[in-house]
Amino acid sequence: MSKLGEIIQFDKRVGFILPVEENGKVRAAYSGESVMNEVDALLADLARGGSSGDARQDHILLAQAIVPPIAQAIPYTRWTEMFFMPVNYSHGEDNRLAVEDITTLAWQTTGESQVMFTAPGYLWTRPTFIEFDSGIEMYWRRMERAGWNVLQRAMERVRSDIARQIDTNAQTALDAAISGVSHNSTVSGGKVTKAAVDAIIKAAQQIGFPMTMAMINPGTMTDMTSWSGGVFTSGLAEEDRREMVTSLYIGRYGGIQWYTNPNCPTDYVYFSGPASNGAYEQRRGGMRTYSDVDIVRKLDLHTVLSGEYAWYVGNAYNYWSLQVTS
Amino acid sequence: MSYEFEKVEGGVVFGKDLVTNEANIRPGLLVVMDSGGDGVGLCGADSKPDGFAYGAREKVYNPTTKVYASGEEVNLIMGDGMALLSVDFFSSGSLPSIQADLYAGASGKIATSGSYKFGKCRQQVTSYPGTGGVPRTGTSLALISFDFNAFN
Repeated sequence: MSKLGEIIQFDKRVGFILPVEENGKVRAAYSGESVMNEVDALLADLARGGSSGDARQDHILLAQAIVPPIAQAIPYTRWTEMFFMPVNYSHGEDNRLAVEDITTLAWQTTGESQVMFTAPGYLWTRPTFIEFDSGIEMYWRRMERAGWNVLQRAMERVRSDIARQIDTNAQTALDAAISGVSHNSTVSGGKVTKAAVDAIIKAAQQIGFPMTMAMINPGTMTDMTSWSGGVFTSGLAEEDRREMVTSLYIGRYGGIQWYTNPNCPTDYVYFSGPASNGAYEQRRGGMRTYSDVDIVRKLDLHTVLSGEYAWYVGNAYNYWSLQVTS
Repeated sequence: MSYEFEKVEGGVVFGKDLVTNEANIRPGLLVVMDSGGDGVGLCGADSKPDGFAYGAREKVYNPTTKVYASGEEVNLIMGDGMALLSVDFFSSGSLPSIQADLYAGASGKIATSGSYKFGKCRQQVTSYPGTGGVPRTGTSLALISFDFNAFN
């Protein structure tokens, strides 16, 4: 009987193990049972090939050479991060932040009247930390049967889910702060309009906290192609015209650096000045993964723990949002 | 900023062996001393106010609120003087008109009618809070004169 390796080979182009063909025919005929036995032996060899002495590592190493399926979702990258100053805390360290508590008053006076005094106070705030976790059960048989590194893909998905959760909470903190100072506005018609953006830029300039950056979904940003008025009517500079044609938007409109992230909601645009003018993202600990083997249930357990996160917007006037409604 | 209270002139800041005997007391609310001489509680409309609660919370580690806990050290502004108060301290929910007489109200707040008159609203002034970038809208405060000596 031929060895399995003589009749199958890994095809890098398609990412599968294929039978070796000779003159358009499979080199040797195999019964289904014997093929399965040989495949199992091959996978077992691959697992032992890890030679790490650690069953978990061996399972992870199992058949890694086989190309995984083409991903249908991009890894999640955070879009709220740029609005917050990151501050790291150790366990047991107080995450207090000072809050201004000052009343002052100047008076028109006469030369002989008594001076009236006010006394500055002090206060603190302690944002509440929250954390996230997830777990994966990886049956050994499933890894064997899959033939590609299912675990790696699953772990990537977990990391994306945790990042999404972190963003959701950061966005909630941002939204609460923005609505608290009425810096949230709405534009109807399903598109981001030039007038709506211009109004925010103007209002921000008026209070002395000019916008320097914006976060927008890249698809939403192409609404710029429908903008008119101002320079869009009188004619854009050559470089802006070229950028509009090639990317369908102008990445520096209004003196703002426009950042795009496909994970940013399509119906919101967020604006801010430098994060140092506005908010903190407090972090305690980093992301950790722990693994264990359950030999009774014949599986590996993988736990992913996020660090702890807390958000505090100290100056909401640094932030604006524009909601796009239909 | 809410509950803005500033003693701008006069008064005697008394804080010897004095603690709050209930929660919900904050600087600027009217209080009365208890019969033991070492506790203060919120003044009601039917009580003679001894003064305003006053002072930062020094013994609490980095406090996140100005409201005193029950049993916490506190000062009492006695005597007579002048103070600035925001609308939060008035029972009616609005600043008293200038020249309005001021009386002890419910829950340590100030009313413009009642049994125990302790002061008068002298002016309304505008304080600009440290928020809003370039604040154009200030906070209206009542500048009042007070005299608690009548109740001694």
